[in-house]
Amino acid sequence: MKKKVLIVDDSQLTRSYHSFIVESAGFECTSAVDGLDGLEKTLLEHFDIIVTDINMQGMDGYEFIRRVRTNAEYDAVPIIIISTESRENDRQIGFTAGANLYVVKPADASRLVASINLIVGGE
Amino acid sequence: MSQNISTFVPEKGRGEHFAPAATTLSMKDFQNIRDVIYKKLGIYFEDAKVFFIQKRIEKRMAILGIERFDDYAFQLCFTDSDSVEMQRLANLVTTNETYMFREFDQLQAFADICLPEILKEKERKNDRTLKIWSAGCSSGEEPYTLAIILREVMHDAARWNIQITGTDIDEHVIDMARKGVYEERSLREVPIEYMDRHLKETSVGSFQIHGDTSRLVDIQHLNLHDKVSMRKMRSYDFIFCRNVLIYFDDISRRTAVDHFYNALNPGGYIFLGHSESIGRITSAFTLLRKGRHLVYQKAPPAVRNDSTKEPS
Amino acid sequence: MNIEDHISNLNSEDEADRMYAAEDLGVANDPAGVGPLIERLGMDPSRAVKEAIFLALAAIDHPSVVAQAADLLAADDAFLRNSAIQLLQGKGEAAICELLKKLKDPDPDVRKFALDAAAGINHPAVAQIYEIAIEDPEINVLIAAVEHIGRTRQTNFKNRIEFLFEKSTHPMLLSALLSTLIQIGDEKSWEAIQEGYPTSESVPGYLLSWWIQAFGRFGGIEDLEALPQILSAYGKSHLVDLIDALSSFQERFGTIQLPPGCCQTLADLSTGPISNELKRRLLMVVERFPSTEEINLPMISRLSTLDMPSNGKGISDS
Repeated sequence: MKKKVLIVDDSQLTRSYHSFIVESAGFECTSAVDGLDGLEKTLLEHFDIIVTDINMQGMDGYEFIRRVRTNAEYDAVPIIIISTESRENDRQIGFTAGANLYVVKPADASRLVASINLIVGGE
Repeated sequence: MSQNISTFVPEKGRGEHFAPAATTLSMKDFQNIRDVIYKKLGIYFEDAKVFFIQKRIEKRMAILGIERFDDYAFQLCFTDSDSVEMQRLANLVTTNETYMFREFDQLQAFADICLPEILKEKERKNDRTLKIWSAGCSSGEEPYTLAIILREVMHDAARWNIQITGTDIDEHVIDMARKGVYEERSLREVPIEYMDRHLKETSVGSFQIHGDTSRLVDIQHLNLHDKVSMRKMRSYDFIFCRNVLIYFDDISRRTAVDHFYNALNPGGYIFLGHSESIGRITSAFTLLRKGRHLVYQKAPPAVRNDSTKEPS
Repeated sequence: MNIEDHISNLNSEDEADRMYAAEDLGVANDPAGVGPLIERLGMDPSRAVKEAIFLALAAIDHPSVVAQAADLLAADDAFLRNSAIQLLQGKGEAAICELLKKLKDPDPDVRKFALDAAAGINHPAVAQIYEIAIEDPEINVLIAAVEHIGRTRQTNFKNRIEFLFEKSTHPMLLSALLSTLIQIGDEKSWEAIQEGYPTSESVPGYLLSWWIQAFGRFGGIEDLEALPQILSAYGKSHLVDLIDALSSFQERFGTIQLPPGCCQTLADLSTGPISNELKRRLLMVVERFPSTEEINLPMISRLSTLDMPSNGKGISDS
């Protein structure tokens, strides 16, 4: 059974790019156009891994992560942030919100896949 | 005197002679349009609706004099900053028909899950008031639907102080709502058992809501844009505002929703049309899954240990 | 009630009072409200109140709002930053001057946020912002600039985008450049694209979808020679892009002949596990290309057996 990945990003370009990378690595991918879309999708089906941007209009990525974590079904689901920010403070906010890993954009393909495999392998 | 024989060339009215190109809306353009409709109106159209959307866009394109679908998509996504075109498109892609028990699925979420939850919580606190607001109720189908549901779900309804407030801006439909008389068209989704219990046929094809049910409902005039009146609405446990806000512009929509937020009790629920998403207007409500349904709730009162604040 | 009252109510213990105070300050449209609103933003625990504050700031027509919003682009709180972007977009032309300044901020994130704000403003002066952003040393800003240029159809940047396309190697930047060329490019752009990627086999996977779209948008009749190869290699994986590309060919060239075997391949693809809508489109494309061969239309794929939309309502959803 392929593991299901949810990719949340408000840039269509980024969604296509990351989906391609993740699907090529053998995962099944679903995309969400922003935090709210992502949240709705998490409530309607179960994903094994979530990959999310931070700076999105409406619900930002940190808020998205916090709200996903209030759902007991997602207690143990790994969440990876992919964002442009590289300040230590941003990473802290991300981890406090409930993310497991922080990857800086633009993520090169092998690094993104390695991060996902690392986090999935660690279960 | 020489006469100029002038040939009168009627000016081509843009909407009459102009036909859009005989082409198909590409999936790419459909997805872009779908995304912007979703972001601005909160309505999601699946892939199966491509043809439906295409036909409606063609109408707009004919009026605007646009030939290519991608040009229309560009205008809708990028140059429509005050959402005027979006509202025009909204009128074409949504149906404004009102009838009882519309959007049954959502009413099930209300009746089977949210309502019992609120009732239980209130009983726990010895509070037997229940207030529901049907905003933009038109000719009254929605508030009476809610009244029927309450009478069916609540076995001890008589011991509760129940108020269902239906409001609308249009005096004409308010009059109709107060009469509570409906034709079969409005009643086609009413479960059969409920027909006998809550409606009586007063003349051929015409039914009136039973007094016992209609007395739960109070119909009032209210303009959702009127800040002063809106601010007076308080302490509701449920607000229904279905298929109304999509026709508002951005700012009015956000303002109305702010008022709804304050009109709701903590823990109260708000229902927009099943394909509308209030989360697109504000992130102040919490999105929850109840059974098969997604619903929006105003955060329940937190348990406070702080002695300077009274628990609500 | 006057401004002082509203400002005072901004600090009420009651959430609704604070929201209405903000709303009233917005309606008053008085710059005296700006400072207190911004100050409250930094400390209010309620999301609803903060959103009401942004709504109020949007209603106040004063340069101080734009200046404050631009400063918020550097806030630690992502909600404040994103709301500031939206606020600046709503201010339109009045925000451009401040945004130009922020495009020179030492923090690349601030530059990117300023760019995102500008990209939502429909005004010719925004081109100045793209001119700066497209020279930005930080790749995220550059990618965002390229993306926005495509999305907002800034055709004046065509040559610059082609130039970048020829010399870039970064995969994500290349994707952005190619997708933007599809929006603002022309036949010359297609030449540049073909120079880099003469055949579909030479295209790296992450660029394929864009390449096929470019093929559809700019390809000439002679490029159709490659169609059998493209269909056999990517017919299943990139069906949606191919259908759009072929429709685009039909629009541009009318009824033309496809290379032998293509129509049959397309008809066969319609038997795959694809949605009815895609089947319908695929068969529409096939039926519009004249063919000298006899095509075997698989029984279950005949248009008449699919759920056809009636009255434009499409396939009903629950």
